Amino acid sequence: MLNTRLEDTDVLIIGSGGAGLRAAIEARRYGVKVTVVDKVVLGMNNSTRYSGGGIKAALPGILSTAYTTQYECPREHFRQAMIHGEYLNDEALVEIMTFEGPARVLELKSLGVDTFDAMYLKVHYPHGSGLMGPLVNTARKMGCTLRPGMVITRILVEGGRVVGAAGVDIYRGRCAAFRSGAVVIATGGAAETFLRNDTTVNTTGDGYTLALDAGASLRDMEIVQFEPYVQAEPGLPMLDRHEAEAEFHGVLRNALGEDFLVKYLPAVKAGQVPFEEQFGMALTDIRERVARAMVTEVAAGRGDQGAVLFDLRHVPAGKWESDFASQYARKVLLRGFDVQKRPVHVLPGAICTLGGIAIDGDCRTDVPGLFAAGEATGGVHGAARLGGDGLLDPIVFGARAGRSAALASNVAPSVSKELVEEARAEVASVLAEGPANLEILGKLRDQVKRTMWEQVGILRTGEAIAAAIPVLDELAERVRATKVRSLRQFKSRLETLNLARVGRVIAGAAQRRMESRGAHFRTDFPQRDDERWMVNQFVRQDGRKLAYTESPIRLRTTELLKQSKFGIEVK
Amino acid sequence: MLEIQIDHARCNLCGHCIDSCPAPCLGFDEAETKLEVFDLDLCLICRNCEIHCPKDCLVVDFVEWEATREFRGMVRRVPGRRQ
Repeated sequence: MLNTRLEDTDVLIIGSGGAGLRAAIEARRYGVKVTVVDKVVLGMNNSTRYSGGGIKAALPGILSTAYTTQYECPREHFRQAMIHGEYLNDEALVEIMTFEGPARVLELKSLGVDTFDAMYLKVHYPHGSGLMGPLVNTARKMGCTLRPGMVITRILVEGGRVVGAAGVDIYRGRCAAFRSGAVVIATGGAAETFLRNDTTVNTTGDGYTLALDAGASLRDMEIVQFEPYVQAEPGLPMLDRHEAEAEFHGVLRNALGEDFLVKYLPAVKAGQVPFEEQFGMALTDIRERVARAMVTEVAAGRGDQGAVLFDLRHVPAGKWESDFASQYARKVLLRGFDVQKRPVHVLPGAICTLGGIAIDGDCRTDVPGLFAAGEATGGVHGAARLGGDGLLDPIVFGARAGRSAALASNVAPSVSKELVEEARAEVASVLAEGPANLEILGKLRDQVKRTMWEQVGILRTGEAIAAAIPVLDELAERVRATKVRSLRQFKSRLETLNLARVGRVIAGAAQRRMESRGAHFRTDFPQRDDERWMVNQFVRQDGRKLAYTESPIRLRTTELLKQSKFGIEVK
Repeated sequence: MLEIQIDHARCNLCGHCIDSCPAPCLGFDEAETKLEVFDLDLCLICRNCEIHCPKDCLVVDFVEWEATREFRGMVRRVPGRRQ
């Protein structure tokens, strides 16, 4: 039978991506005992590590290169982030990120990260790998306990307060429980919910379900960002080709060979691909618009093998040698496919979930003792994310969550035996002898992803989402009914269940928001509706049901936002 | 060509390679008695599996692959392994 080992720690951090490790380092600075758990290996298999973008903050003259221009001042960064996020962002959180960001980026140097090398394509590819190695080393040197292969199944709450967490230790083949005064959820997003995504297989939204079960609420879950230029060539990995697009002006063509973006973006001249730097803030949601245009073309039957073509043939051969990322992407990741001879198939893929656990400025959630940071949280990016903010968010809020958790861990939590036993029994009840169900689980996982991609994907309609919801509920039930043979298979089962549950949360929120805003696009309501929908949607678990609530947005900084040179009207 | 070579005699089925893979390239068979390469098309050549293998029984072989010969130094080096 399974045994449970109970460990004591002051701060428990779930997830070892950028946010998790930054939180661990910060909490350790306060001298408390810190344990970092990850369901797989530490620090090397997460979205930060495989991030292909840079980091942007108000650091003019310090970190500006030909590739990335930094913001002139935090105020400008704030304004752009708010306008880009179409006001779904929490002003307080955006203020923290933009005004604290520069200091946090410079601070990385003291943690062993050579910011310049790590971020500007010189040494590493993917670019996030330059960030993760030093953070893991620093956390280890500072004396954090690191536990890979630990799948957390529930947050233990007693008397309305978090007292620890329970899960299974795959590598040692037993159940584990942690007694801790503060728990930080830094588990990342849920882009894996969609069939096409360019994140790692681990982004299954585990933190969202943990938070829901613990009683915390999630916000703006309908917002999922899609990256347009993700490879769809058979035999090639699903990776985005954004770097090629930004530097070289590749052209998107449909099966007829037309440069179709001109139809969807009137401001675009034929032969040019738009991107943020070319158009500035005039088109805030450029990524979303390009993604929508591509999917619309394919839906209209003008796609080639269910995708569109990305033409890079006109790029002079010498240009490919100019930077490391494009050389690597072209020669290694393309497996000898020659983009200079024929166009490559691309189709959008999910890149991150912008909604997530609702937090305040100190990363506190609704449950005392429970904190969250990074992509697992919502409200920082609003309805669309600025390029470069994806890495800034975990660095800033990771540090904040670590500090808050360290300060909140000054309690003597007592975990009752019943709670631990309950968690163990939950695991034991799905372990069974007999035939393995891996194939069934794989099929269910595929069905969830396919349903989400086809019915709750980029172009959403009320009917399609309404049809998807019972399917997702049923799939979740079918996953719950499966039995597994080993702890490793238990992890697959839990991930599949999380995908179905998070998919259901996203679908429910998308069905309720009857407008289009940022990355959320409803073909039946294609306009932004500021009269009705200047609201944030919150969701919490109410028994077996999800309870959605709305909270109106009241902007404090309306005057500042009005000063924007592109003059987007704020009501 | 790109290939993941597994020394099954040395493999102790710890699963670190599977856990470190960002794509679903590697996995166990149903009975969890053998490590298998599921889908090499998805491999990013990050060499996480090589680095995390405690038994040193995995090799991501892309060195003889013509397209990448000049990239040997660019992809992460594995400590103690000939490049």
